[in-house]
Amino acid sequence: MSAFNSYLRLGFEHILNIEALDHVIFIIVLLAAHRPRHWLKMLIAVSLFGLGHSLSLTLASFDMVSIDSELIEFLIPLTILFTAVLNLSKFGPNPESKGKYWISILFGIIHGLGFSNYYEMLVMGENRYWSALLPFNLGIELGQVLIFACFLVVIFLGQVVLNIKNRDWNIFFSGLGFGLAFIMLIKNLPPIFG
Amino acid sequence: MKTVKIAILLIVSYINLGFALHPFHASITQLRHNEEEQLLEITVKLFTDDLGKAIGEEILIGDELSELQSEQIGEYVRSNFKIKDLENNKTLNCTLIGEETEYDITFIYLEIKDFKLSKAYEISQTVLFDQFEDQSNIVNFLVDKETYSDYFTPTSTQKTFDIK
Repeated sequence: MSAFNSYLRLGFEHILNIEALDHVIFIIVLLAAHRPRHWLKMLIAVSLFGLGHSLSLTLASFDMVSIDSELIEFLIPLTILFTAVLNLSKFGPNPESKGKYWISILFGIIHGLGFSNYYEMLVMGENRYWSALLPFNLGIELGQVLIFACFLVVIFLGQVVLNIKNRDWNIFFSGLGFGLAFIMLIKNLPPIFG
Repeated sequence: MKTVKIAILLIVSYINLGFALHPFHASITQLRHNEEEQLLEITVKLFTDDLGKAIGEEILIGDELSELQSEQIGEYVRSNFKIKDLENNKTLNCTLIGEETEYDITFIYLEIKDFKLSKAYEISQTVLFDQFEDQSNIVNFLVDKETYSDYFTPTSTQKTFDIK
């Protein structure tokens, strides 16, 4: 095995870890308002989310950003809450709205800063970016593509096979995301609120 | 009213201490062959708070380790890392050199003296597997400019490294 593969696997397994569900929940909420025929728009949104990650990864790996990890862990559930509420507004299910794309990239950057807290653990010696951070990030993206593919199947099953109304679907998954993110938010309250 | 205030304060502070950080259970071990001095230099990089759990004490970010804690951690890490020279069928003896803590990460330094490179090693890195089911340990073995690497999990604790 090469070091590249080890870090790739670490990123992939981290994103699918049951205890680190925040990124998975975000993707589910991001896609909750869409109809199955808008799969291309969903793909673009998920890709932009990944692009946002990669952006913060690159900045963090060159020590260009450093943000308090507790603040990021607090902001991440906020991004989910915000997206879930937005889904219920008229912008949510509107396929013409470009707002989701901006949200994807902006919130991708925030979620990426969450990963950047681990970078200090991952790197050792030279070639930090190519041999450790890049494969770790690729692993995360691969995991996300897998989540996206699985959820696309679920969306198809729900809205096409079982014929569940898009509105009901949206409320169900946005509500699920909202509830889980709310618990996370309370758990990650920065000490200033304590 | 006062009891309610205290109760809320207690609950919130418990939540803050217990769950403030997102769980990411990983460690990196680097083995470097130092041909000149015939040494195998081993660096194990771990999260300090995880190590605290392993020795049964709470260590918060920024805490300085006591001498006893350092000793316990060093011994804990040493006892979880095993390397066997398969060519000569010999288990190698690691010496604990010391440790260093930088913010939330602790480095443990081990070495093997009179180290001669052989063709294959059996390595086991089980550090923190007794604490977390989702712990992953990466071991990178640097020989000349080549890096050999493997991925250890609680269900896969032993690996063979073939050195070319």
